[in-house]
Amino acid sequence: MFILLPLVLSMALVAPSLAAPEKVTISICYHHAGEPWAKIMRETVDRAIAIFKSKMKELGLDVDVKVIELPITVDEDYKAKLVLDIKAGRAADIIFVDSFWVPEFVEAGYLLPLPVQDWTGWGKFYPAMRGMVTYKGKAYALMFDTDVRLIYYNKVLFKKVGLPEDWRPRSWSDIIEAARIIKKKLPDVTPIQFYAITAQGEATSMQSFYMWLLGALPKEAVTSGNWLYDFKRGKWVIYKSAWLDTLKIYKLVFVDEKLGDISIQLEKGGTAWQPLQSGVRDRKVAMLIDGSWVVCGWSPIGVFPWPARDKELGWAPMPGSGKPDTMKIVCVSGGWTYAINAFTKHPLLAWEFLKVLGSADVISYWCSVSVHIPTREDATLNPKLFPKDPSAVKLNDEMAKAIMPYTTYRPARPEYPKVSTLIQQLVEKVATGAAGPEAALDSFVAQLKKLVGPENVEVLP
Amino acid sequence: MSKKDKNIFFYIIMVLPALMLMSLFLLFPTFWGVIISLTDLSLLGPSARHPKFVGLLNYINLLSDPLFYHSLTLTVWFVIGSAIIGQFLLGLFIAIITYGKGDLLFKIATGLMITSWILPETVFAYIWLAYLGRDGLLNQLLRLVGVGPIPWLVEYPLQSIIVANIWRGTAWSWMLFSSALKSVPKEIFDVADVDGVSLWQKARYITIPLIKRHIVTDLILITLWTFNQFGWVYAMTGGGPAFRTLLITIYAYLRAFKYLELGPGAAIAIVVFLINLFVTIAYLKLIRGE
Repeated sequence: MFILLPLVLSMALVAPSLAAPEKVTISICYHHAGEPWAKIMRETVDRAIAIFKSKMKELGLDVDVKVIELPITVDEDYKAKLVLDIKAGRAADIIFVDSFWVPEFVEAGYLLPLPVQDWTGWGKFYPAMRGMVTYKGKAYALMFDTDVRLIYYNKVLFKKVGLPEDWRPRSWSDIIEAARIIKKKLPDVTPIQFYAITAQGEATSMQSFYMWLLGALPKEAVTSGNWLYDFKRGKWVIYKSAWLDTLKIYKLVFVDEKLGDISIQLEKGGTAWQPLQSGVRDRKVAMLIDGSWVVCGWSPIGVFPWPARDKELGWAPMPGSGKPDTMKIVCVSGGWTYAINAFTKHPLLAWEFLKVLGSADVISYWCSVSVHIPTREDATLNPKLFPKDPSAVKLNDEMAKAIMPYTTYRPARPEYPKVSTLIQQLVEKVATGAAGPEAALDSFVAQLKKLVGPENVEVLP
Repeated sequence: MSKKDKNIFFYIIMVLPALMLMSLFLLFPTFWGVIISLTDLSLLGPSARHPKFVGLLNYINLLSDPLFYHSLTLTVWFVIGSAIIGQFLLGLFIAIITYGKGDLLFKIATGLMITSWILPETVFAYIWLAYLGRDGLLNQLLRLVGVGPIPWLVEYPLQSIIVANIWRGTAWSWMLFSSALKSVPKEIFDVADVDGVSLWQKARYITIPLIKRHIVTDLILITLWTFNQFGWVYAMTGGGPAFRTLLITIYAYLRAFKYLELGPGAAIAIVVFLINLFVTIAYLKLIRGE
């Protein structure tokens, strides 16, 4: 289909002499969690549309792009709407897809394979970014952004209790010790928060469970990328002692010592990120494990403007457990992609537009203003692109440089999202005290075996 | 063709449009639901493109699904607590104590009760969220007496939706019983009053036997409505926190439309349908058996 593109375009070039060309409209859809995301995504997409239109005009094509913004806060709700729209034949031509959904979307037949071999831009994406959108040897999406996860802390609170303002935890016990000191000296402050409820969906897996688990796993499993799914053996792997150590942290923090507040998370559900992120600003939450983009939420245009952010916000890479043969620093990265709906009526135009969206210019712009990390080597974080908050861009750059070398990724498997849902249920069970780590893990393994087949699960010591 | 045959022919013609509409909008979707429940149809992954017939596998899996039992148990408690104990008994009690009273205060109370019943579900859910929230009205009031704040929806989620449902649904039972009582000759109560019969004895020996049919009708309807309750509970709690308000209807919805597993979702829906059928038949037998 794609090899016809030059032919079609050249026909389009001669078309004006035959008859006035019909205006073609393609569509793009994405979701956002309110401001500032709504505004900056719209600006980014409008920037891409302007470039796309002028490019097409040079070829004599009159095109328009319809933008469908969906103000849906919870990613899983957006996914449900998107999938139902695709199935009903009503989804946009270009769709915003979380990178870890790609394999199951492909298996369902919802994404068009992209002719990336004919595009020089493809080679500019970092190998890991190409890997995340490639499934069974074909590319299906372009990584629009990526991110790092880390631990934030409020320097004012740390100073009050006598903790160093440039705090660098070396192991889990450094974090727990700091939390205990804060609880003792500042009883009205929640010492530490990380997502522990099913309603937070993938955030509970990514910004929380894996950030602990990766620090407890054998180093080799993490660095080889076989820490959750072993690609050599084709099995889901559960390193039992590491998983139990991780779950014991949830029990310690949320149940036994109440260093974290599960109650507010349960009450707010899908919007639990709001009191947690505003809590760090308002000196109500001392430490928070979250993503790099949260800095954008604390910017002057953000959902929780924090004028003193650059002075009061501290951050540190997430340390490992401190046990022998584990990682010193851990991180897991994700990111969002744009892909082409397999049922599009305009695959050629959609691909042309997708290439603009995935260009160095557009990705540089989006990542600079949204505090994400660029996915292409020729895209850069530029403080000039975000005049309202240039220091956020610098902060982001520092985080990326400090943490990206240690990051890892989720397994690109079609079953992964369902496995992740089970993990979220496991975490919630332990964090709410509904079950102890051992019992909860046993029932998790049983459910995992039912989901992927007992022959595809291996429990390691 | 005899006259009788002609009549039958005429009847068939008359019910045909209704039958066709029912088939189209009721029987066919139910039948389709049964078919889907026998497949592994999903909206994502390989079974979205190539759904397979799996027989009764979805139903068998439910038997070993802890969340299924959990949601079924919660739903039974929800029905017993809010419909049978709450709406029914409270509705009957209010109907008895307000019987024969027509003053202004009573009329205002009537208006207020009906308001709770006719509120749109999302509005209703929002009002209760605002009422029970950490900074909600209830906690503000409790603070005046030095209690709380209590995060009601976290500490007592099932109790919260039971109370909300009693508040919402009692008006219906009360209206039904009020109008039923109007059909009872007032003289009976006058005689009873002369004989100095207590309120409890009046209810036990006069009121309840006389409106027995209404009671069964009320119980059938509120049991089914409560069992099938979905909208406002989902809007209020989403089945949470930690699945503690996961009514069976919410579980079916989550499986089908959040996790996008249409096969297992449909299987739960069919089980709900069968339970409804069973409850209705049991109540109807109760009426006929009197």
